[in-house]
Amino acid sequence: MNCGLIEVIKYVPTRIKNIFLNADVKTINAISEIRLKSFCPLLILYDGKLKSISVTSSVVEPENGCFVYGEDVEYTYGMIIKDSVYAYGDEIPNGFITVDGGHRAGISGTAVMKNGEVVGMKDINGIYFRIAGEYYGCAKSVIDLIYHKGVVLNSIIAAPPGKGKTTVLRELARILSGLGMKVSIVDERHEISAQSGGISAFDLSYCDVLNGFPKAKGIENAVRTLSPDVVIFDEIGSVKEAESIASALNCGVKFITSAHASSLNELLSRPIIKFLTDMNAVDSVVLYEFGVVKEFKYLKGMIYGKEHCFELDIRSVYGDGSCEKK
Amino acid sequence: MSLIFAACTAMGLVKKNELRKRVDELDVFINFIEIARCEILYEKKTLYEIFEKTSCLSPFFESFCKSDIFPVYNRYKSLFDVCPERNRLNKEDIRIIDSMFVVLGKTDGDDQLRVLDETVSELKDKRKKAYSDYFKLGSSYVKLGLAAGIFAVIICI
Repeated sequence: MNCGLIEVIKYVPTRIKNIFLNADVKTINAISEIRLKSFCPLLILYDGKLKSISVTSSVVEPENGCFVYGEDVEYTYGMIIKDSVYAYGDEIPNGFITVDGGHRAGISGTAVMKNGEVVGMKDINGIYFRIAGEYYGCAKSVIDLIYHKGVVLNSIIAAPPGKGKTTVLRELARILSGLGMKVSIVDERHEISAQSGGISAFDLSYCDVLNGFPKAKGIENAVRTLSPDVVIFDEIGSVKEAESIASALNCGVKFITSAHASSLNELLSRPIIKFLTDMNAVDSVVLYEFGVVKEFKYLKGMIYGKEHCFELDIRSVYGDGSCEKK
Repeated sequence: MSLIFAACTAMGLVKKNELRKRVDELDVFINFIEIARCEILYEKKTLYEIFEKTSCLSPFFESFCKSDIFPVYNRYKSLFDVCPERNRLNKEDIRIIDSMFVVLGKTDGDDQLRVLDETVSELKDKRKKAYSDYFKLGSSYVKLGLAAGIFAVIICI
């Protein structure tokens, strides 16, 4: 049973909730996204394809789906923010809110600007739920590449949106912690741990979680106070974060993070990644998609130390699972 | 005759008690706002978490916490309009509380705090007035009740 979906539908109006509750288990299990847009059919990502669901709870083409009205979106938005705009003042300008269970609710609407910065959103016209999942074993292909005899490579896991970056980070954190490493998770957007009242919704073994901290500050705090072996955080994006990584590396701490990219060339051409690779801060980059390593590149990290580089005898792994030996 | 006397005196006491209840009710709302203010300022708790914390303040807040009417303003309107606590407050008190619930949760943290501060200061003024009314008018009502009772008894005799 797709428990994530059950957690998510508590935010939608009863009319739409009932459609999902009346659907069969097979349908429910195959849904990974719910997209509510004003005056459009209710869209779902069903087995990776954009479909809709009818009022009789059957999966149909979008044009035949159940219709979503403006009030439905308004109601859902109110439920997500629990009628408390002030409590989500930091998340709303980013365009998404992480709801209970670690599921991401993307929001579309009009930006409210103040002194050139987005401070909020108005005229909300769409809510897009992405259901988070916990897939044991999804990181096996990655862990074989970035962990060797107690040594972790500083790694960036790249994938296009919605291809399981956060899920693999969560799994990596759990595995590394289980292997006896001190793992700190900097969970700025509450997606990796999905904590509610200080308790994680996912199995994270013995990981320390810094929840809601901006990544740069969180990395700094983790290194300073939690003495981690590895720091894991989601979606590197700013120079400040890169600088925090660099200073953490100088303390002998490894990091694993994720980034949006559809190929490794694309990833390595991004200025922020270039900044890190130029500093020799990154040992390896992995292109990942739903449990499979599509591409793997080993970048010689100065800080990582040459002696360990020799232990890793794989240079590249391709989508079909074949590897290029060093 | 003693029944008439007792009824008149009781009326005086009831009137005095009503004034006391208004003070108590204003105290409840002031307490609610002060708790809400702290929760918003220091923990950015959502309204529903705040309602959970304040559910022990009065039966109104208890029912407010238990209700599943959404959104908050609709919940407030539907519960407050029928609750007995409303009758203890005067029109002006209700207007102040109403105007707070209209914007509760709708704006950013700074604005919420400003609204709560303004509301609490207005309610404190009202409470001060209500308390002095209780002292001044309360004893007058009791005396009036007693006098009316005696007067009624005399007339009856």
